[in-house]
Amino acid sequence: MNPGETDSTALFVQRLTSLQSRLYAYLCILLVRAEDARDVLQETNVILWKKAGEYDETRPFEPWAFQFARWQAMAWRKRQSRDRLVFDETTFESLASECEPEGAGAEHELRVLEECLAKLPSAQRALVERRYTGGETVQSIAENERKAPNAVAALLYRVRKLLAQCVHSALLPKGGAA
Amino acid sequence: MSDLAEILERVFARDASAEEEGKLTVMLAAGSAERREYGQQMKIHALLEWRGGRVAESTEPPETIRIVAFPAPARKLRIPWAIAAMLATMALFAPLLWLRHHGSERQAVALEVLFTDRASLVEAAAQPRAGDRLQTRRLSLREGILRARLGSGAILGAEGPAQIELLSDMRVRVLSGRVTVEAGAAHGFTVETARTRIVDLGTRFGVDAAAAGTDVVVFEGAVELHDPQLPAAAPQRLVEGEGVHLASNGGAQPLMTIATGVEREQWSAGAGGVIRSLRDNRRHPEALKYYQVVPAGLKEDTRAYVDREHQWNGVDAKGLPAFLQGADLVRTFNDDKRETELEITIELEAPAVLYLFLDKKPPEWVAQAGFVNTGEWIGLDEGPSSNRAAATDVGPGASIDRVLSVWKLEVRQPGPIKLGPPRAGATGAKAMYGIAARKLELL
Repeated sequence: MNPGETDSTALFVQRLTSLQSRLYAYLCILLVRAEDARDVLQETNVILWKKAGEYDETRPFEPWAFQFARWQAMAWRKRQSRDRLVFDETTFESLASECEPEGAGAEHELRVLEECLAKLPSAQRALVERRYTGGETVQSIAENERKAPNAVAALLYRVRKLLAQCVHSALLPKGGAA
Repeated sequence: MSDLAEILERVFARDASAEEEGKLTVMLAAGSAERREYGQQMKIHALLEWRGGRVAESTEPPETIRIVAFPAPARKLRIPWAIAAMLATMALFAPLLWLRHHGSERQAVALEVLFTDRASLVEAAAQPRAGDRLQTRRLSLREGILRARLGSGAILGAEGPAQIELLSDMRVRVLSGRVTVEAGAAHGFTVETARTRIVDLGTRFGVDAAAAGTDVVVFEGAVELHDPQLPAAAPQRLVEGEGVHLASNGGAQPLMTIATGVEREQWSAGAGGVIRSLRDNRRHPEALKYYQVVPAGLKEDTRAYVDREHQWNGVDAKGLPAFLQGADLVRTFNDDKRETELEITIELEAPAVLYLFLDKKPPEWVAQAGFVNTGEWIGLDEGPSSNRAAATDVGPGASIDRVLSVWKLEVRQPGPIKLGPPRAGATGAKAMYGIAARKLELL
């Protein structure tokens, strides 16, 4: 491997690595279940490595990588039995198109999310930490806080919405900078 | 929208019914606004799970824990064909698939298993055994006890269930559960939880991470706490015998008692055995010393005090009185031997016999509370103290420095029992009294 190849391999590793969380999120949207998204993410990584030589470095990496994730998710969908939650083709295609990252910047989403979390009021941030870092269930949080589970679910929903808006607005102005 | 919120929470918790899944499908087929809402929610949910380290536990397949050497007979590693094919493809770039957490590269960390007790790891098909060498970035202990040495020399112990990320051989992250660290020469060894970093200053300490907060307990030496949410008045440093609960909401409270088991990994905040709770009247918010309750812990050479290496022993070769062997033990503070205002309140779980080990003539409150002298004795084998270089010996009757009388109180109606100070005036006990309890078997 000559130095040029080493550099381009390192760059490919860096790009693919920084996109992992966002590819996972995209696959969760298409496949719903986290365990399915994890499996398909692994399959997508394998395919991306096989196709690494075909990647044109003059073109954006994200759309190229996301199209493989989409194809892998479609292939997975066809393999599933009827007893699983599988979106019909129209819904799947709509979600796949509507939820692809808009422009560049997906690789920064985790860092931006961190910044958005820091802007949350402390009670909302604590709720997120309990649910996602501590792994506490909504039921358990509700019991501890003497609230109805529905109320906790609704609050989490609102917090996720705030975070989504914050991430979206933080990434939009820098659309072409990444 | 509340329907979507409810259904999504069930989907996220993996317990959505077929009917709810059907409802979700219909909602998303209905319009782009619903799909956009769903996409936003699912994306942030997935990123938060990723950020919280909750994805790796399943994404990293069992085979990412690699047993590189073990005692004969060697065990066969189970590698599904898909993973084998993937690993072959990825041979040159194997770390890629396992890169997590903000895109930083993390190498698998090597461990040498020192001790196990019914330990079962999610990442390994076979139960780990002493002598195994593991290479992994995560330990998901379903149950049992695992103790292992890292490359830095630090010894990491855990009692399942526990989820631990190995960030390097000097840094681990506890996602949930309890770990005990003996840092040894690995000064600066760091344990992270969701909001706190605990940095070793040459010590043995424990960290218990749960959704409600983190308990930090120092058994030997000292640790530094780094926690941006800690109130200004909260401790930044804990020393031997101190413990604190750092609540998820930002508060910090001292731990009054710690229950410990036979193995060093077995500890938890609170009391244990027949002792429901224990507190004293000297505590103020910044007092961090904890009493130790050791269920069934009274045996030869067991540590007598939280703050000394002294040991309880039989006064002669016959050993401890039979009725004391295996009793629940409370480790008090020997520094309290000069206290004249101390009051300890004990609550019992069930009818029990409460024992006191008293030096010299007992204070008046002992008899007034109904304690009677059993006529038996217990020996104190003293270790070093600030003004005395001494070493403990092993076994009953060996190196006994002080003999204490054993008093007992039968408690048939469990309720708060108040114990007074070890001395009433200028003279008196030269050792703090010991406390033990044994469940009373009622006919």
